[in-house]
Amino acid sequence: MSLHKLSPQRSNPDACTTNLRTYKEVIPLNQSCNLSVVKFVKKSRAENEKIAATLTESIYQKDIHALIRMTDRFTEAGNNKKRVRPYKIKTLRDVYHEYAAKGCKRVKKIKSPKCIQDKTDFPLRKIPLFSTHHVSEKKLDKSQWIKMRNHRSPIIVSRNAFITLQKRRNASKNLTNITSIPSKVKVCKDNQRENLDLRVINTNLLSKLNQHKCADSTTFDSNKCSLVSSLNFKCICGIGSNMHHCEAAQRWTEYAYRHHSRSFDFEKDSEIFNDMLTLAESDSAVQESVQQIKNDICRTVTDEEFFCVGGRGYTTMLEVLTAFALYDKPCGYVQGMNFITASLAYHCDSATAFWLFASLIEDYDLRKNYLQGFDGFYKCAKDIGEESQEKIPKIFKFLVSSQKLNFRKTTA
Amino acid sequence: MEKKKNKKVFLKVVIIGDSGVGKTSLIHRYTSTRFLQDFKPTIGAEFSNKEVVINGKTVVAQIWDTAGQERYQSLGISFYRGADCCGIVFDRSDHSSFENLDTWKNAFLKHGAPKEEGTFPFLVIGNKSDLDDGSLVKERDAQQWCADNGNLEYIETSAKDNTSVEEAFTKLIEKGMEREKVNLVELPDRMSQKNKTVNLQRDVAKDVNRKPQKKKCC
Repeated sequence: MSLHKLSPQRSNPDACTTNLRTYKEVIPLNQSCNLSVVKFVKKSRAENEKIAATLTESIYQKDIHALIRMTDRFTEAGNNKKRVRPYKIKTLRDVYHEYAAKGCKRVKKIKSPKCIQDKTDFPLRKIPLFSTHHVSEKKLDKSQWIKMRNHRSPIIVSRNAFITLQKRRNASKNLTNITSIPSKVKVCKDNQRENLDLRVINTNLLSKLNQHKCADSTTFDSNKCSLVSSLNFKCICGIGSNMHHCEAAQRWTEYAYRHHSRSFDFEKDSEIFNDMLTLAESDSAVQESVQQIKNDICRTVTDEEFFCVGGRGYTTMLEVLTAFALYDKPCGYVQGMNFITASLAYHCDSATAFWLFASLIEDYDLRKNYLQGFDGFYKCAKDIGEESQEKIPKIFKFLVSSQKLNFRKTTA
Repeated sequence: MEKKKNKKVFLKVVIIGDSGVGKTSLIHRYTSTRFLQDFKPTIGAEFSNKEVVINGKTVVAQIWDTAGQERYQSLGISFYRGADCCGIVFDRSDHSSFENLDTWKNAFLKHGAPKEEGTFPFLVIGNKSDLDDGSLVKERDAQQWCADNGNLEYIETSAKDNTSVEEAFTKLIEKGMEREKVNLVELPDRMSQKNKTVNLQRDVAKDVNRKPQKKKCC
């Protein structure tokens, strides 16, 4: 039995897509097939658990054929019109924990990603890299699935949207072609977007970027970027410095981009970043939040000149947060983001910091923590509650009994 | 909540207002009698306790500091509940924060849902009085707004200079205690409500008994 990986492969992307195609043929388009919840036919509990176990196993190993076989069985059973009930599969985390218990080497790798193990200064340590690590992997697969399920509209994940846009822009130098790109890019509605939890870039933003590019195309020069010209970047952490970021930041970019089909390209990405900054100047909605951002930057790290008005950290944070307010309009700037960007600003310049920040928000499940309603926050609180109930039951009992902890979401 | 043995009164004080008006510094000034130089934007909410003696009674004031940004208002819903009094802060040097007083008051009444909407104890606090460069929000305007919104009380403070911060919080707590007295009269009603809850629990118990029967059918 050959193992085909579901996740996109850098070396051979074509092989990956063919596999996906076969998968599409097997699963009917209308059938809701999720990674996390699959409808099972009501059988004995032991049998269901057996299926769930093999399914999670196959997800873990990303064995596409096993998955297909499993789904075949489900559809077959579904056609017999027996009573179906949702059955929750073990999450990937559970699988990892099991493997960890067995002492499997694979899990050790997952549990401690390289950048955490490094002895170098890592200010992002507070961000739960581990807990969200596998989610991003899963998400990537999920997004691929959704992409192929929806024939009518290709959903474009933000960064890829920019990349495709840029490719097309480079390919066709004719201006008329450039303006026609956005019509091809179809974007789902706002509420759908929330459900899918995919970062989808606004068509408006894309078209605006194009227009801006068209207007500027005659005079625009990549050397004009203020960031590229600032060659003497010196990192505060004192590790060997690059032009734009220090060694630590270099590793972070590698780490953040390891799931993507390409690596971090400073010149291209900083170009996009600068485009966004110029766009943000004329955007009224973004300008509103700029005031808030300026307000908050001054009181993020107050005892350092680096972040005072006029300091390099100040401008970096301002640029990153303004660009992000434009990049992700439904989310925008929320208090609390400033602390993350502050720690990034120590180690890299605006463009690198921005893409690292975007990657943190999108790939590491931080976005829900900032969206209206704070679903992610409640989820985290619930996770902590469950974890503490398991690990420190006595303290948990005390906290709950004295009503100092409330992990449930109170609805109005 | 009232502990009769220690004769302590427990009060929940909620401080709301626009982002950056100085809510955190005000509270910090009151609870720890210092001015915070390196204040940070509040995320979600924080609270601190202070024990004070007012009119011969020991009061434990739990002062809730809320985040000013609009996005965090949805979280605020759970913090507003059960508040005994509420202080709305605005920055006297920032006119937009004064104009937002309406929205803050309405949001509190909507989400906090206190029993007495008309008479709920609010205190309007004009902070940053030390920044006197002639363009501050005038006391007359602020008093006018308070008179138009149900005769609220208004006080001007400065967390930096420590002018009338103590006074403001004492006023707030006194107001909250007045409200507490009103609630104490209602105690018999509460007792009757307790009886009702017992009935409900019995119903739930009956439901639990019924459920297994349903399962047997399937």
